[in-house]
Amino acid sequence: MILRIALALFAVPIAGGLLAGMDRIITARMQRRKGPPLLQPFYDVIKLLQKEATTVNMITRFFTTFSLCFTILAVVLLFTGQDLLLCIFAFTLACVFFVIMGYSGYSPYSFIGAERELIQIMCYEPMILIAAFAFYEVSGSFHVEVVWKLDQPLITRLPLIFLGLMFILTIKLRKSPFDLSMSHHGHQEIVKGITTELTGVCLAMVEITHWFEIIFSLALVYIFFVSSAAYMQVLAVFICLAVYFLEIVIDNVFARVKWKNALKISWIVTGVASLANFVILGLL
Amino acid sequence: MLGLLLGLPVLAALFMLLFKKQRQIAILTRACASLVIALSITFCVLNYNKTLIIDLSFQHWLPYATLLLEVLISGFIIYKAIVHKSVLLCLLTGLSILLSIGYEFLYKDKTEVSQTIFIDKLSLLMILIIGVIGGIICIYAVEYMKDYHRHNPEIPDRRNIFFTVMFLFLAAMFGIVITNQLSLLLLCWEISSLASFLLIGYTKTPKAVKNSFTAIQTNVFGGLLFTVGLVLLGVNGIADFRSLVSSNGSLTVSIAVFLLSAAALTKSAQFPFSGWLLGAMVAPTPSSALLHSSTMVKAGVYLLLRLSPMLGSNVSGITVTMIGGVTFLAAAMMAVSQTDSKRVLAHSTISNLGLIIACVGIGTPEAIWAAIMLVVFHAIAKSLLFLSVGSTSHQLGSRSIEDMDGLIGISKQLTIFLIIGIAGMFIAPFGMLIAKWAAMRAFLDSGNFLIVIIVAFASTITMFFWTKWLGKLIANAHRIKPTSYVMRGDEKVSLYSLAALVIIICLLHPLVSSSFIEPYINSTTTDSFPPPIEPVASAIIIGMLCLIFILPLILYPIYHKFSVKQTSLYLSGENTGDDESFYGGMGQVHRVELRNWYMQGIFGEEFWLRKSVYLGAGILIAGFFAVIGGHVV
Repeated sequence: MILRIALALFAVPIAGGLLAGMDRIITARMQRRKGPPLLQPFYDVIKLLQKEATTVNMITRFFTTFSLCFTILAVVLLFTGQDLLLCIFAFTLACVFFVIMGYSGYSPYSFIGAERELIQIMCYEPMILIAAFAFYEVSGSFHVEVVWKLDQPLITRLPLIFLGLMFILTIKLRKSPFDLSMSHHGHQEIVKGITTELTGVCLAMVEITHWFEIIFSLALVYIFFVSSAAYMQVLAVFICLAVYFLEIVIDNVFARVKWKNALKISWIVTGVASLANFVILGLL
Repeated sequence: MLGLLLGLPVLAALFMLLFKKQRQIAILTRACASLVIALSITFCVLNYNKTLIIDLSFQHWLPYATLLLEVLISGFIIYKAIVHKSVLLCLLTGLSILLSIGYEFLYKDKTEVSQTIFIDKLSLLMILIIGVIGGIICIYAVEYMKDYHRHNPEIPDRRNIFFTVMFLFLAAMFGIVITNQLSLLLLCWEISSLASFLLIGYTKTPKAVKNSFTAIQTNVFGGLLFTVGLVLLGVNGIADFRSLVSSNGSLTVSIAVFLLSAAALTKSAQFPFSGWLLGAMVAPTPSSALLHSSTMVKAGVYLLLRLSPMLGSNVSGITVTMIGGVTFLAAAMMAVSQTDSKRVLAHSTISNLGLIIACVGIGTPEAIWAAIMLVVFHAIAKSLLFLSVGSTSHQLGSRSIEDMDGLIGISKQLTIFLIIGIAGMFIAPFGMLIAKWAAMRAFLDSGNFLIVIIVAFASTITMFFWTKWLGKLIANAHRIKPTSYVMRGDEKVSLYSLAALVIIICLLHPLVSSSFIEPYINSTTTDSFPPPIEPVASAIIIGMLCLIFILPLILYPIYHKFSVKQTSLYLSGENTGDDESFYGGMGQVHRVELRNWYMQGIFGEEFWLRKSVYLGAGILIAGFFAVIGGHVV
C-alpha cells in the first residue's frame, strides 16, 4: 500500500514529465525541428518555481493548489486500487477547481478558456463514466484491484467502449483538434486560454497537474489491457505508450474544431459506442 | 405526541387567520415554526425504537370527516374554477369528488383498515425532513415577506393567508407520511394540492393566477388518477399500503398501482406533468423553497417509495424508471439554457426528482437506499439554494445569474451559502454525489443499460450548469468592495443552519444510513442488505470533505507569508489600469463584460420542453396499455 502511494506521489509526476518531454521531441520531429531536450518540462517547471510570483488576484492560487491536490488524490486512489467511480469523482472535482480557477482570473482570455474547458469536460465526462460502468458490468466490481485478477483483459469484451475512450482522451489531454481551452502552443485566438493569467508557481502547479492527468488518462487505458497474465501486465504499458504516441500524431494532424462540433462528435461517438457495446454484452 | 405534531401546524394555520398585525404574525410564525422543528425532532427521538401503529377504525366519524373535508376542498376548487371559467378544472374536480363519495359509501365495509397510522423509520425520516427544513423555511419567510412587500408595494399584503397556507402545507405533509390508509392519504394529498394552488396564486397577478391554475389542474388530474386507483383497489378489498404490498398482482391491482404511480408523477413534476413546477416560480421564494425541497415534490416520491415493492422489473416499474430517466436528462439540458437563477433551480429540481424516481422505479434495496439518500440531501441543499437566491434577488434586484458576479462585493456570506448549496448539489464529496454513486450502481445491477447511459450524460450536464454558475459567483472575486448589506436575524439563522446541515449531513451520511435507511429497507425485504457505500469509501469521502476545509487553513498562512505582487489583467496590452475597461480601436474606453454560455441552440427550452412532454406522455400511455395488455395476453 505504502509502496503504491509512494509510486503515485513520486513516480507518476516523473513519468508524466518524461512523457510530456517525449511529446515535445516527437512533435518537433514531425515538424522537422530538433526539439528541446527530454527533460525540458522539468527545466520549465523549475524555472517557473524560481520566478517572482505575480498574480491578478488573491484567490486564483488557492484553486490552482486545490486542483493539483485533488488530481494527486485521484491518482493515489487509482493506484491503491480503490473504487473506480470514486477516483473519477475526485478527478472531476479537480477539473472543476481548475475551471473555477479560470473563471476567477476574469480576463476575457481566461474566462473564455474556463468556459471552453467546461465544455471539454462535458464532452469527455459521459464516456469516462460509461467506461467505469462497463468495467463494473464485466468485472462485477468497481474496485480497480480486480483487473489484475481477470482471465481476459477487458478489451476483449469492451472493444467499442475502448474506442470511445480513446476518442475522448484526445479531448481530456487537450490535444488538437480539441485544444479549445488552452493550447500548449501560444498561437490560439484566446492566447493561452484558461492559464492566461497565471505565472510562476501557479503555472508550475498547472504543469505538474497536467503530468498527473496524463498518467491518470493512460491508467484508464491500462485498465482495459491488463489481466492476470504477467506478459499482459507488461504489454499493457507499451500499449499505453502507443496510445500516447497516437495522440501526438492526432495532435499534429488535425486543425482545431469548433466547440459545437466537438460536443456533437464526442457525444455521438460516446452514445453509439456505449450503446452498441452494451447491446453486444447483453447478447453474449 | 402525534396529535401534537399534526395539530400544531393546523392550529398555527388557524390562529394566523385571526391576526392582522404583521408583528403578531411574525412572532407567531417564529414561535410555531420553532415548535414544529422541536416537536419533529423530539417525536423522532421518542419513537425511534418502535414502529408506531395506531388503529383508528373504531372512530366511526373519521370516514365522514374525511369525506366532508374532501367535499369542502373540492367545492372551493370548483368555486374558483367557475369564477375563472375553467371548465376542465371543474370537470376534473367534480369527477374526482363524485368518485370519492361513491368509494366511501360503496366500499365502506370492504375496506376496514386496522392500521390507520403506521410510522416506521421512513416516516420518521420524512417527518424530520419536513419538520426541520419546513420550519427553517417558515422562519426565513418572516423577514423575506416583509422585504417582499416593501419591494413590491403593488401586491396586496396578505401575509396572514400566506403563513396559514405554509403551515397547512406542513400539516398535510405530516399527514401524508404517517398514514397507512389510502383514503386519508388522498385527503392530505388534496390539501397539499390546494395549498400549492394558493401559494402560487398569492400575488394575484395575471401570470400568477394562470400558473396557479396550471398547477391545480395538473394536481387535480393526479388526484383523479389517485382516486380511480383507490376505487380499483377498493374492488379488491385493499385500502392501505400494508395490504397492497402483500397482495397478489391481479389485473385491477396492477392498474391501480400504475395509476397511483402516475399520480405520484404529477406531484413530483415529472414529464409530461412538469409544467406546473416551472410556473410555480412566480410565487414568493420561501413558498417555492417549500414546494421544491421538502414538501410537495417529495410527497410524490414518498408515495412511490411506499409502492416500490410493487414496482421493479414489471411494466409499472419500467415506466416509472424510464420517465424518471428522461426527466433527469431533459430537465438538466433545459437548465443549461436558463439565465434566471430560480428557473435553473426549478429545472434542476425536476431533473433531480427524475433521478430519484428512476431509482424508486428500479425498486431494489440498493436503489431505494439511493433514492432516500437523494431525498435527504436534495431537500437540504435545494432549500439552502432557494433561500440564498431569495436573499440575493432582494440584494441585487435581479434573479439573473449574469448579475451574480457582483454578489461577492455585496455579501460574502450569501456567496458562500450559494457556493455550499451548489457544491451540495453535484460534486464530490458532497451529499447528492454520494447518493448518485449508489444510484449508478443500482442502475447497473438492474441491467437497464439505456438508463445507465442516460445517467452518465445527465450527470455530466448537471455538472456543467452548476459549475458555470459557480464560476460566475467566483469570477469577480478580486474586486471586493466593502460589504453594504447586513444579514438580519431570521435570514441569518435559517441560512446558517441550512448551510451547516448540508455539511454535517454529508459528514454523518453513514449515520443517516445506518439509523434510518438500513432499518427501513431491512424491514421491507428479507434479503440481507449491505449499505451500498462501503465503509472505506465513506471514509475517503469524508476525508475529502475535511480536506476541502483544511487545505485553505494550511494554505492561507503560507500564501499570506509569501505575499505576491498583484498585477493587472491581460487585456492585450490595452488595459486602462482598473481591470474593468480597455482602450478600443479609436482610443475610446470600453468596459469588459463577460457573459456565460447558455447554448440556446443546443439546450433551448422551447425546443426540448415540448419534445420531452410528448416523450413522457408517450411512455406513460404506452405503459398504461402495456399494464392492461400484459394481463389480457
